[in-house]
Amino acid sequence: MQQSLTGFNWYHPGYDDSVSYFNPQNALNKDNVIHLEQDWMFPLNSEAKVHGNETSRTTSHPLMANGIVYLIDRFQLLMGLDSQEARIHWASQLSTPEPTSFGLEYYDVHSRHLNYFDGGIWVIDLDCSIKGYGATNGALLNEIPPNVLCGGIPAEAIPRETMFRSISSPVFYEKERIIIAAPSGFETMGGTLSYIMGISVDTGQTVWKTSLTESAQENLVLGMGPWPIDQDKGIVYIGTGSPTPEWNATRRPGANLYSNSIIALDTSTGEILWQYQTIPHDLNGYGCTGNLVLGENDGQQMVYGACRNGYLYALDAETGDLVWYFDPPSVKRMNSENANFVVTNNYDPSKPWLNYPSTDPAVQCPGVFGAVSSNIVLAYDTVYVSTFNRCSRVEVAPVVNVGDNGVVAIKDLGTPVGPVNSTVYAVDASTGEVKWNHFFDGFALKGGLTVSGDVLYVPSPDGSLYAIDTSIGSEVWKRSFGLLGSAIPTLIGANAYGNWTLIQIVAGTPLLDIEVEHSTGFLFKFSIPWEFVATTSETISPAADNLGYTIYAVVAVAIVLMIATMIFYLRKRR
Amino acid sequence: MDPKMLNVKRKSKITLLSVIAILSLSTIMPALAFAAPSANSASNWEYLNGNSWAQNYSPQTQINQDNVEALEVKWIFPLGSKVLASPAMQSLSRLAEGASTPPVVVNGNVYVLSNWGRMYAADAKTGKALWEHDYTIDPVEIASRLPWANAKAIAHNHGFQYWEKGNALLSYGMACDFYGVDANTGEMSFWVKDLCLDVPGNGGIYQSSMANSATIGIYDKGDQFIVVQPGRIHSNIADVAPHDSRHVTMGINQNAPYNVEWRVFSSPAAGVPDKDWGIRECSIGFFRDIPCSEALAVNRAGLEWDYALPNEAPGWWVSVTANWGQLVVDEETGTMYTQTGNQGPYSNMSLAPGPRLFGSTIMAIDLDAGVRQWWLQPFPHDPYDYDCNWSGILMDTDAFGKVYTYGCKEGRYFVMDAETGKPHLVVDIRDDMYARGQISTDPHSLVYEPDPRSYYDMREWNWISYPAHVVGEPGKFCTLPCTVFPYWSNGMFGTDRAFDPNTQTYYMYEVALQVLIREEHSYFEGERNYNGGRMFSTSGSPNANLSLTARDIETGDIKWSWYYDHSQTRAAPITTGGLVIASFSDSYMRFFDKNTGEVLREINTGAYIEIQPTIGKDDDGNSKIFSIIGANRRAGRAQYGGAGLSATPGTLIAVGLSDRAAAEAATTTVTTTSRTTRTLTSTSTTTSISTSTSRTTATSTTTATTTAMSTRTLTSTSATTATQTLTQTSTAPGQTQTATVTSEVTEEVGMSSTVTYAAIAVAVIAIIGAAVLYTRKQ
Repeated sequence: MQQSLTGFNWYHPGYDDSVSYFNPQNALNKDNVIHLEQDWMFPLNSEAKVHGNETSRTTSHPLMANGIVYLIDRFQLLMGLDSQEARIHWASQLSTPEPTSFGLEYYDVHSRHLNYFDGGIWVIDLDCSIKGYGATNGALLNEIPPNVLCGGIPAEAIPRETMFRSISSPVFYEKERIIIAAPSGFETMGGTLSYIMGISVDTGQTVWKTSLTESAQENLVLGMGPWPIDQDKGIVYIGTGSPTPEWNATRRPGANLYSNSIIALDTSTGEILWQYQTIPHDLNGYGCTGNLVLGENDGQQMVYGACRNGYLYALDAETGDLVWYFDPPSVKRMNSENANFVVTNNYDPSKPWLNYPSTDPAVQCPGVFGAVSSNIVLAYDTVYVSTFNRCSRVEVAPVVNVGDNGVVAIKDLGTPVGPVNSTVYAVDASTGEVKWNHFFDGFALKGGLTVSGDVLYVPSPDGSLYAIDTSIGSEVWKRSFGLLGSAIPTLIGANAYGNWTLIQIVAGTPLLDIEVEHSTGFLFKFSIPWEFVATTSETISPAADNLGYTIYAVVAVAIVLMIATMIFYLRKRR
Repeated sequence: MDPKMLNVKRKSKITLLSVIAILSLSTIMPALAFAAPSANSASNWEYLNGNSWAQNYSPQTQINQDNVEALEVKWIFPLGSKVLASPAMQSLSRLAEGASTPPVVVNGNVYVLSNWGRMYAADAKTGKALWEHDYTIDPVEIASRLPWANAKAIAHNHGFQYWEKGNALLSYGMACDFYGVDANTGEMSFWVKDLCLDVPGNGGIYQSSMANSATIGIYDKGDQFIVVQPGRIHSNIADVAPHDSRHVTMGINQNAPYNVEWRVFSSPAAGVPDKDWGIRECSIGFFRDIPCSEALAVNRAGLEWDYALPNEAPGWWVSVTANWGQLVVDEETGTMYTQTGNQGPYSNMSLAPGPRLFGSTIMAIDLDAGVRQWWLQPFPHDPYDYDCNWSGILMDTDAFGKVYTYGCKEGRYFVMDAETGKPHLVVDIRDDMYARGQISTDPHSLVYEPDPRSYYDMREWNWISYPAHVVGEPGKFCTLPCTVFPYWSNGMFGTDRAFDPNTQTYYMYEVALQVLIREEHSYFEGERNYNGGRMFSTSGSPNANLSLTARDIETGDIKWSWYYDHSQTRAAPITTGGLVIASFSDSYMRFFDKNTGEVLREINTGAYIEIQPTIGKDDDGNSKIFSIIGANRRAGRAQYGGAGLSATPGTLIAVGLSDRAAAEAATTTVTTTSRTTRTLTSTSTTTSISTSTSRTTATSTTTATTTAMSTRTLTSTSATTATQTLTQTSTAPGQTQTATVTSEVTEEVGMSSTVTYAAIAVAVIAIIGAAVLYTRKQ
């Protein structure tokens, strides 16, 4: 018997190829989580001049492999941190194009996720190159030049003012060594980036390219993720964003195919196997750009996804058929009728904007950040999803030129209207029934969730990390970091010495209603002292170990017999 | 006897005893109150180094040896970059990034001052920002009005502090000014300007710097602020104007219009031949432990015409630079203790020979009279910049009574009589460092120490490789290239020190940084010696280690030391709750058992720390340690401690007990252990006889009224030799008291409780004495 290695490493952005955000280890669990001790704190990129050079990029979700924590900070510094000592093991500065390069006057594009493949840490850089660095030494192992992923963009393409955009990590189809990547996250006028590509790891050549729009004038956002892949069947599942211009659909009548959709693609050919559109003709700027999770329910493969409209969808992974959906009762809805398609099975394909024909400002619920802006988790036959209420005031503007975004002042969309609160739900993965919910008042939970050891970890804008019992929804532990909020999902793993470790990034990402743009972010590492570690073990050599037990049992029985005999003998003599 | 008469007599005796007790209290209380440092609070950290005596000590006990494992970072507060400063401020030369002042803690709030003039206030409990205050000036306007220049000054700030009487945070400005910021609102309370206007004897230009001295002196009994307007750092290097400015210490009335009440000068007047500058105050001074009068008797010519050639006025670059430490004020005696930076011109002294008083000099100033009370120059005629660059500590010691303790860069510390400056004890830490193996060469061979009794040493040995003029030419002390120890970058002690009054222990770093001088660029007689800022070509030593050392204040003996192999540090140690807390360049905040030096806990903050921590309480009464991390130059000069030139904004963090541990600390029982009863008799060379009774030191795992009371009476009379008898009593060893916590505040008021208990004890003694007399009489 030896300590199980299950859960030591967090190789992929969502922990595994299924993007479950569930680490199945049980050494750190709901019974001992209160004993977590802080080992170190690491300020991210303290060299940066924080104020005056503000960025709204976010720190990436971290990875952990063989005791090294990998992440990209807000200033695009990719680093490997020794998790034992909080030392930068290696670092590489990714490209940091000027904001105007992509016309991003409001928020900045960033690389949201990393991925681990073939001994390397991989990222899609902001210059559209795909890079792989040696996990142990940071050496550049592979670089796919920018023109491969973004070569289709006309040189005269003009960037478009946009909102928050991020690039997902590349996904690897291991059998054929194909990188599956999408450049979206950038938006341009005059050149669409709404496509997905398969690129050979070894040659850097395009294997396939699948466009999700019919003309170069159309755009829909991909980005974020991360995306699950079925390595056995060769299928990757991708969520798409809203069509643009988001809030004025005058120039994009119809369903706007592939927008707000969950799409299954053949990893070898790029063929679209099926697609499920959650919101036809979106008028609210929603999308399904968060993670999708691949799971199984009584032998049926499932894909789970939560879109910004607040609905959680469970689809048959083979066919894309809807199995069930979950409508969180806490989510308020207003001026978002098309987004309720899963309930009404109806939508208006020609409606130009949300309160047409009025041109007065209107309140939209869920707001422009949606009702779900966190990853979902699949664990213990349960889907965990965090929802929030944060309505927005939208004033529609005409769309005359290509690239107009259809609102009077895009920066004003972020201002909340009405009460702000959040509710985390545990939903039965088989039926969509609610098992429990946990309410948070006063802030919108944005960012991510993690489950491990019967604990749901919820980093919160109120400056605390909440540990919630996954079975009943009660709080079992809470750690405050002060007033700097958190959003990036907790990472659970083990360092190079096998010590169970919890990594939490504090700040380092924009949070709704919380002024953290000034902070580069801080990485906190906690560990559980050995005396509190629950022994989770597995048999590595069952035959040998069983033999050992057998021998011990035989010896024990023999000794008992001998003692009994002696007692019997002595009594008899008396 | 008639019972009624008996009752009357008894009543009379009770009344008499009460009167005796009250008289005893009223006599002793004021003296004790002034005999202790002010702001010696478990809740607040008001001064740069904690209390008014700069002890880097807090009497809090909530965080202690027994729960140090439960410490965690409670909140983080990123500081802003200097790009947020006003355009006018950003036009100042070398405006530094980050912050280099230890956080101040007052009434549940924590305050930080950045190097570029922004003061932050945050809630100590949550880290919530309360207010910001930006200091700003117009350099063009200032320069048109004052003898002031936007110089190449290193505008970093060593410290600021709280002034309770005015409820204000006090700081120097950058243009011959200082100001107070209301602690509640962040509004400017007052702003005293133009301190360098019409300074008698000044012929030079003052410079833009917040580092005139670390803090403003506060003498409330005399309604005085004490401020320093110094000459330049390394004088001739900052060659923005032809003349250096005159070092002056000033007493400023605390009330508007803030008149100057006195001035004490530490450098001679410009353009005025002054034969007697170096000998005028000889009767009150020492060169190391040599009375100035003794040197004068044998070397008058060597001390006359200080800073000048005979019959000439001092040269252009003559002055003395900043007092880098806390200005320590003794409210009881009206004395301020401080020390000055190095002299100019630097480092060629051929135009300005002599001992170069009062640069690199420890001194006391009589604040009521406005005169220098005594001085001690550890390293006369210094070409190295072995100045006295940090804070000294005023101590009430068992062995010597009240002393001022300080050591300059060269590596000796002096335990000096607070009244006269006469050293009770001189400890040369270099020998211990050599014995420990921190350096491999006999340290005495790596430096030349001029003798004030030698004419040659005071007036002819004028640069390090003298009389050599080129590399390789034999010098008296060294032939270039040669290694010097200690390196003048921060010096042998590196930073401030700490004192535990309970155990009479002095904590310090002992730094083994050496430097290789490859070439001296200006070593010609008559050289005016401003060479674009390059006096030397040097190479840093790969040998950059330190030991954190605990020394007995009476003997200088080492109680324990802890070796750190990586670098110097500027983050001074503090002592509290049975701990010594120190931070290092490897990002770790370390917690040592104050008695044994055992490392009880390490917290990795992930970023270089070069600013000392402070400690105080939040509004819930929970102690927190405050530290600025990551405000430094990470690359290049890490082994030298960064010299305060910060390239990153840094972050304020609060470290406190976990919620669970804090709750346990609030409800647990108390275990009190004390030193055993013992009697010590020692002989020393002091000029006093002191008899003290009952010093009890106790450590407590938590907070209760049952611990640690110190009762002490001290009488002294003059004598040529001294005998000291110290009787210590306390509870028996191993005795354990258990009590439920009743009040944290009553236990943790430190010296205040000591004073109270002392007074009570005196009263009790008086009553007992009276009762004995009464009984005997009956």
